[in-house]
Amino acid sequence: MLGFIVRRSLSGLLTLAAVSVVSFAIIILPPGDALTTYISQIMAATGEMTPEMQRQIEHMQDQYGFNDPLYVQYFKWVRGIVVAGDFGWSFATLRNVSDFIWGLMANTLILIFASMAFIYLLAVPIAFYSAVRPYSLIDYMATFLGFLGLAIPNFMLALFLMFAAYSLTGQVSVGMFSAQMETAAWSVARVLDLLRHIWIPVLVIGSAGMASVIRILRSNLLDELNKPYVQMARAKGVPEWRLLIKYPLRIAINPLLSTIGFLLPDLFGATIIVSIVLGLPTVGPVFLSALLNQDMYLAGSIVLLIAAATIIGTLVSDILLALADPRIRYE
Amino acid sequence: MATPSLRADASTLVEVTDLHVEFPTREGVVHAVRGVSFAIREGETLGIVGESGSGKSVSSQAMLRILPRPGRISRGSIRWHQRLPDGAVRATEITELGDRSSQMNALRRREMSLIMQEPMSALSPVHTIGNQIVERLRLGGSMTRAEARLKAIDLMRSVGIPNPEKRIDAYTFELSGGMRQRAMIAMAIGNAPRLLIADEPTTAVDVTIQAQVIRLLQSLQDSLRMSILIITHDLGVVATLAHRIAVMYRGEIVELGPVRDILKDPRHPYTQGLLRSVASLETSDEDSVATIPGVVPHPFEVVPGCPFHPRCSAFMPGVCDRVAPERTRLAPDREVRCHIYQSRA
Ligand SMILES: Nc1ncnc2c1ncn2[C@@H]1O[C@H](COP(=O)(O)OP(=O)(O)OP(=O)(O)O)[C@@H](O)[C@H]1O
Ligand SMILES: [Mg+2]
Repeated sequence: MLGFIVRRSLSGLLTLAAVSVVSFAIIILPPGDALTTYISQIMAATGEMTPEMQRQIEHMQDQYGFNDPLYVQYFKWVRGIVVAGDFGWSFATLRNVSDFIWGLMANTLILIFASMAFIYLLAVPIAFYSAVRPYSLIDYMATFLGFLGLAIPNFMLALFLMFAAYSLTGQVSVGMFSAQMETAAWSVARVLDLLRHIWIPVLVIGSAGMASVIRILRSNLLDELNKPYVQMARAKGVPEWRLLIKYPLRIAINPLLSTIGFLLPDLFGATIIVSIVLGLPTVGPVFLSALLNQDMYLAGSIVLLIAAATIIGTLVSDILLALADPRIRYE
Repeated sequence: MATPSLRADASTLVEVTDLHVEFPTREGVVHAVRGVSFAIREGETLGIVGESGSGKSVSSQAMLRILPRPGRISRGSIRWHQRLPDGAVRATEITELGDRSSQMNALRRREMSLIMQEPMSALSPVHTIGNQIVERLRLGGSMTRAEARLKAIDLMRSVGIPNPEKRIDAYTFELSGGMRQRAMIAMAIGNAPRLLIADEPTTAVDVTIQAQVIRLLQSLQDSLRMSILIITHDLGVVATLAHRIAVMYRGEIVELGPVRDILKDPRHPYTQGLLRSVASLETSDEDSVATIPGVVPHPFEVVPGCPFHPRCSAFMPGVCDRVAPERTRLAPDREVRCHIYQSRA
């Protein structure tokens, strides 16, 4: 098991290294270098260059290696991240990327994991019931609602829920926190505040991802229910509910564990639109504006961080799968 | 290897009468079992032989009420005679119990148990052997987990699994076919059932292991005094193990009687063909049955008259393809379902 974790972690690190090259490629993608653009913007605005600015520009030139060959630039960027947590300079917001990226990342991950929890907590019992009582009313309803969630565009559902929440409570529910909680430190009150706000985006993102999880699990379960080991357990006299949970459900859930990894990028994609519509402080809208403004250190850093989150997610789901299924553990 | 002799006064353990099992599917109704009747006495081994798809497994699954969906018992009776601690006998009609009822589970836990054809797929791949045996033991009686584990190790040793203290924590895929089959046997005999249903216990293992499994079943029957229903393609297995055999064809028992009598003097043309094909091969190959000319009609197909008539060497036109033969008693313990004997009677 330990060997398995070490092997998977190493391959995760390799993937991460490859992704960092891609992220850097995104950073240097626009023609010309960012610093030159920045200088010309300042010149256009103020008409002159103060000595202090001159020093700052020289410092950046040195720190990010704008005059060096590309591979040196790449290594300087990576070293900055690894050694000092410095993701580069955001030329559009005139701040260090690392000054504001983590808060956005945290919000994004909270939203993604809340949606994921919502999906699994609801999809597993629904799929379980649908498989045990196939072609029942609830089975059909689950399928219908699943497809409805899949078919309704996220932005529309978000707008509708926002409107419904406003009509019912008279309050506009946007953002992930109330104004006074926005920057407060984590506390019970802040978590409650988060829950009050996050249900709309979670419902929107979750409803879109739910159908496929239900479908996968239901068909896995239907397959497993007819396996001889289930018949054998019945022949032993295991009470039916205990039997269903201990054997077929346990086994049908395994393939689902391995989907956690690739569900992450899908959910990230969903957070972008939902965050724009609902005004959520996640990396999604920031990513979009960074691309529009050619704020490349910011854009590249977001790509890198989301990729890293996906790689870690995949690693975790691999480990969970290995814990759940001895056949994989012993491979 | 002599078959343990059966006490003449042995009483009936289970009595199956006119059992019908149907599978209503989208394409039509499959009548997998069509009016099967047999009884098993205490301490007796009954062998069921017949080619693939003749309804052997389905009959045994009906007795345990574990028919796969959408199978159901459409007619008939399965009467179980349970010996109570005070010596009295209680009859239970299994067809009237709910297949998930607690009475049915009580019978499954203490009275009958099953060895399945394919131990690899009949055991859970994600639970250890020990977990599955312990589960069985604890369902059958009040035992702590630790007690059940010790008993499981004992059982595994008694069925000839070497190093059971270690193997108990193994998963199915870590064991050889023979060891898996033994683990399943250990699980099946754990609660000293009165009836052991062994559905082709030797198909998944190689020849040397086959002989060992058969010997094991034999010695277990001796020591536990249980009845065995053994289902097999292999006439050699029935010959060594069973007291009586039932020959099945297309969901019916076409011939039933003591092993020695039937092997020496088969009456039904199908049984005769079966024995001839084994003799001509001089082995007990499991596919030997297929050498009877003709193929089994598709299960959806309704064959008028005797189901065997399209392949029968003694086919009588106008009779066999019109009228279904009745069961005919040839001797107190012997019956056959064929027009040849019916017209004589
Ligand atoms: N789940 C099912 N759905 C529909 N029909 C079934 C199902 N299971 C079994 N049957 C039908 O029941 C018939 C008897 O099957 P059964 O498994 O009892 O055969 P068998 O004699 O045990 O054969 P084998 O020697 O191959 O194990 C088959 O012809 C099959 O068509
Ligand atoms: Mg079978």
